[in-house]
Amino acid sequence: MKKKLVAILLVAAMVLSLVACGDKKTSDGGSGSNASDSGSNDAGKKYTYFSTTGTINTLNPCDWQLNNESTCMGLCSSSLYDWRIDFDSSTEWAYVPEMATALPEDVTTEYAGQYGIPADCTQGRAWKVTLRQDACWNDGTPITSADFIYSMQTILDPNAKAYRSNSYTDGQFALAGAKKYATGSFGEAVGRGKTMADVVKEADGTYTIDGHQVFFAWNAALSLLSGSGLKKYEQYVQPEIAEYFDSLVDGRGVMPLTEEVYNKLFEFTSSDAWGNETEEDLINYFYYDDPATAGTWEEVGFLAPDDYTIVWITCNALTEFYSVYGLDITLIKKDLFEANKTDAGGLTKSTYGTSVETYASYGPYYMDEYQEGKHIHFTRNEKWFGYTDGNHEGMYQTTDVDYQMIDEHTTILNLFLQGKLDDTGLTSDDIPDYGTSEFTIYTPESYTATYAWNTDFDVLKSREEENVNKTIFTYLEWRKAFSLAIDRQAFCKTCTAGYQPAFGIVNNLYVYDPETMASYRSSEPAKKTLCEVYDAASIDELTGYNVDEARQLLQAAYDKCYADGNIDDDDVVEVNYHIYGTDATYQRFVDFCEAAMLKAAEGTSLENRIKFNLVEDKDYYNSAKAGLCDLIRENWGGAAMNPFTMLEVYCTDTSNEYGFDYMHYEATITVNGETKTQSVNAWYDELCNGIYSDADPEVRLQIMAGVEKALLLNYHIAPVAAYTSAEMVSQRIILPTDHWINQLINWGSFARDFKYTMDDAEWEAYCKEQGNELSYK
Amino acid sequence: MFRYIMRRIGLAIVSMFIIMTMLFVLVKMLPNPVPDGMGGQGRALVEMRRAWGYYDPIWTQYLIFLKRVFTEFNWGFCTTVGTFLQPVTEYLVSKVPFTVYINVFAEAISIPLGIFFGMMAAIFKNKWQDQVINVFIMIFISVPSFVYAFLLQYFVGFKLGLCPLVLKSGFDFFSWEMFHSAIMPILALSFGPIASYMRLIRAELSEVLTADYMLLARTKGLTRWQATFRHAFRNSIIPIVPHFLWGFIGILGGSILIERIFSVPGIGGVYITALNKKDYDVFMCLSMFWVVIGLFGGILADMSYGLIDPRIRMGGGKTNDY
Repeated sequence: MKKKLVAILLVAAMVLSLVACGDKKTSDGGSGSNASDSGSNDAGKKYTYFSTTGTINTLNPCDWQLNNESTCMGLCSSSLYDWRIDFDSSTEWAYVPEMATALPEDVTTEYAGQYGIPADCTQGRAWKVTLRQDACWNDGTPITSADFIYSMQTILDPNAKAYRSNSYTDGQFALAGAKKYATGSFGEAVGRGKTMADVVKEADGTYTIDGHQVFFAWNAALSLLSGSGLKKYEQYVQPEIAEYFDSLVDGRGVMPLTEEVYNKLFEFTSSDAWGNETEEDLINYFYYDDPATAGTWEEVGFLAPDDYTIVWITCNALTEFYSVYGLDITLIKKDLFEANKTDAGGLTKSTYGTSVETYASYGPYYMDEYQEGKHIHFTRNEKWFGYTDGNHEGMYQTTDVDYQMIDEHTTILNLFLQGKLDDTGLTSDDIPDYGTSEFTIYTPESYTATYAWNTDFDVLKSREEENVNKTIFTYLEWRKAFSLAIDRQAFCKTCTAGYQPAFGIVNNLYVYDPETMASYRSSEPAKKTLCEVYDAASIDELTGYNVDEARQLLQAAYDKCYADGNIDDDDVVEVNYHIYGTDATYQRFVDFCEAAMLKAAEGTSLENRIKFNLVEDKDYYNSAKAGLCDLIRENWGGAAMNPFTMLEVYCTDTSNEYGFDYMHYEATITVNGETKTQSVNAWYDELCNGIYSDADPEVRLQIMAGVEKALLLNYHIAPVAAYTSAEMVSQRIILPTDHWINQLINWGSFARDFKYTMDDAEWEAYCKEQGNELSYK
Repeated sequence: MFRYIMRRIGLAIVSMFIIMTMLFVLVKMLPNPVPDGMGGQGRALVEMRRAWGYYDPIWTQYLIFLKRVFTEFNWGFCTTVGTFLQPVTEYLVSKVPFTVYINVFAEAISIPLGIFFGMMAAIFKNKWQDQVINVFIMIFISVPSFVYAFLLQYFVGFKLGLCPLVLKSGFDFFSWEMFHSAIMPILALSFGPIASYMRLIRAELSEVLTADYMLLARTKGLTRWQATFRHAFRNSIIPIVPHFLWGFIGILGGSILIERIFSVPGIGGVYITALNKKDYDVFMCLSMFWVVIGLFGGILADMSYGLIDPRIRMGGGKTNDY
């Protein structure tokens, strides 16, 4: 009896301890039970969003590089302002304060005359944000403005060379003084506002700026070259000059500027090959080291007047929309970051954000499991203010987010069909089966697929073998014929997973006025450009497809090429199409182009004499840039709130179109009643960096459309498709909207907006009932 | 024998240095441009690479590499592969167990099944049993393992629901759940080696079974099975044992496609990824790991001949000259 009593007491004690353990987990924020007013979580039920992701290298705000990492960081952080669906608004979206308590306040007048703000400037340069006082890390540590200051200092640390420092040193949202601070004492002369007038030649043949020795940056990052060194472009430099520079360059990628170096540099930069730059432009290639001019933190336009206020002071004037859109920072938890600091080859880095132990959250979820290359799991962070602040009613039904790192698409699709995943991307092979499924959603993306031709006669000629012709690509008629021979509608249907036909260098997503979300493509100048280029009466009639005209153009190209003695009667035109892989998806692109051109060539002298070769090339962008390809399909996009900067990839050294001379190819555009002709490169410079960078939107549209027209009429590029991603969501998911809203909102956030018809247990039971094979067709 | 082994080890070390130098120089010569259109990020990347010595002359980089490897056994840290800044050795050690796990099981299945069916084919040579086994040998050898992987995943995993489609996450290698989730990759990895071993055993055993001493054994009164197992099998296995050894050594190489299909976080895909993404430290550490395994595995394999068959002597200095 005594033994029985002891046994009963033991069992009771164990049960009680288990219950106690359960309570502890809840209070730690580890269970899925709901103690919030955010609405939709039924107590004790789990709603895990199961998905897949690619590689995760780090969740460190300083050094993350991949979109997957950004998505994971987003689950563990809160932005100052949130973009939400708002069906009451005419635009169907709105921005609301999240970590902030109100919209940013323009305090430019308070800082006028400081931080580079002109004394008479009254708006757009300084923005005050008041922080909420109930925000904290997932261990309960309160978040104050000191966290913001520490995070910004860490990202801009000149000894860290953080990958993400450019978010605050360059571009539209650059902070005052940030670039100078992040660069350190040894940096570009042009970055410190120096010109050639500041460069002094000394008696010993060296050069100085403010008494400090000047260096020529042969293999060091230059703003002019988007962060690359001049050495990257050594194919343009006379070999003997390149060899000379190579012999002098030191470990920093620079060499002391001497008279001889100066002369050789100028000999190159003033040459035709480099666009006849003037002596004044040489300043772009110089560095100097002046500890006195190294930026200090006090000069950086990021202030904390009190514990719950921060002030952003920017280099460029911003509207309220852009201050909300662009001014934000992902916070770094100081104690964790400092504890994990390491010397990484001379740089001060931290392994912060590379494991559960080295990462902290201040967002709706926190990371509780991570296995490199395999799995990452997030669960509700009960310490997040959003669950109790009353501003998130009916949101965040998702209690957990579970990502498996799987590369193989077939595996992902099978797991999805078993009910083990809540979403899956679709490929062009899947579209016939699932393209019209009620669970398939299409999301437009900013990228445009464009065919780019090599048009350099000498390079093409050098690659011609016996009975093979390539120089015909240099004839405009050939390239125009190609553009007209591609049935873009059929191309998208045959080769892609739901892409849409594209005709211009940017697609419909590019917005030039975010307040109204007015897109560039819907503007009158942009419509006019396309109608003129493709000879259409209206934009609605535009197809870009005209086999008959393509046929005539092919014959014309052949006749010209023949008359010039560049093609023989028995030559075959061979196009080396460089593409990433060789599998069926890639082969389809090549086959489509070949079939289109063979069809257009029927009845011409080129009938059955055109051949497209698939050339596998993992680095085809650089190959194209080096002139090694005949044709590539390039994809450009991003920064969809600024269509104008997209011209950079066609009008500067970023261009992949070998043989296209952006420095001399001209566009004639009428601006404010004045007609001007200059190179597309010069137009780009004036539009994005020069006199038109702050011009009226209508003027900028006019220039953008004019340059786009000039580029398209050269036909060295042929836009064909606008990216659209296709994915299926599981049967238990309820989307917040029945249509894609815009590039800021898309279909809503899966964590915040998606609803579930079944919790995890019910869903598992349902899938089992269906034999773990769900129907989505 | 001792001198022979010492000489082989010495040669292996020299070979290792030559290979290491070639690999280092060649991988550093591959273009590694900063992608265009990255603006300030490109600049930061250039600065990082500069701090890490990427723009120093290759020989300078190589000397620094040798110094840190041989004085600190520091193989560097992950930059573009694995977890950012994680020591390379730590990263690779974390990947090896998964590869070893599925491959050890695969090898453990392959050897007995290969031997058994190979013997059957040899014993029943030119009979229907042999024909059937030969058909399977042809199929298993001709069809690449990733095809079985997809077939297994679709029919066994997806349609029949007998096994999970991907390897379970976590490190509980000795749990039933982990083993259950590993069955399909193990099977996919086994078919090829099984067929290979079957073919080798069949060929060797068939030859031995027709030897004169087998006739003598039978005339002395041994049964067919006794003669086969006690005499023929032991002799036929000699040239095959090194294949088993190489099979185990090959385990560490992993299988890119099988690991990809079944989401095994092993070492299989790391090499190509490191090469594509120019993670020099990961590439060099993994290369040298395999070089060392290969060179010393070769010595072991050669030594195994002598151990299995005492008639084979190493390093006797004899030549085939008459």
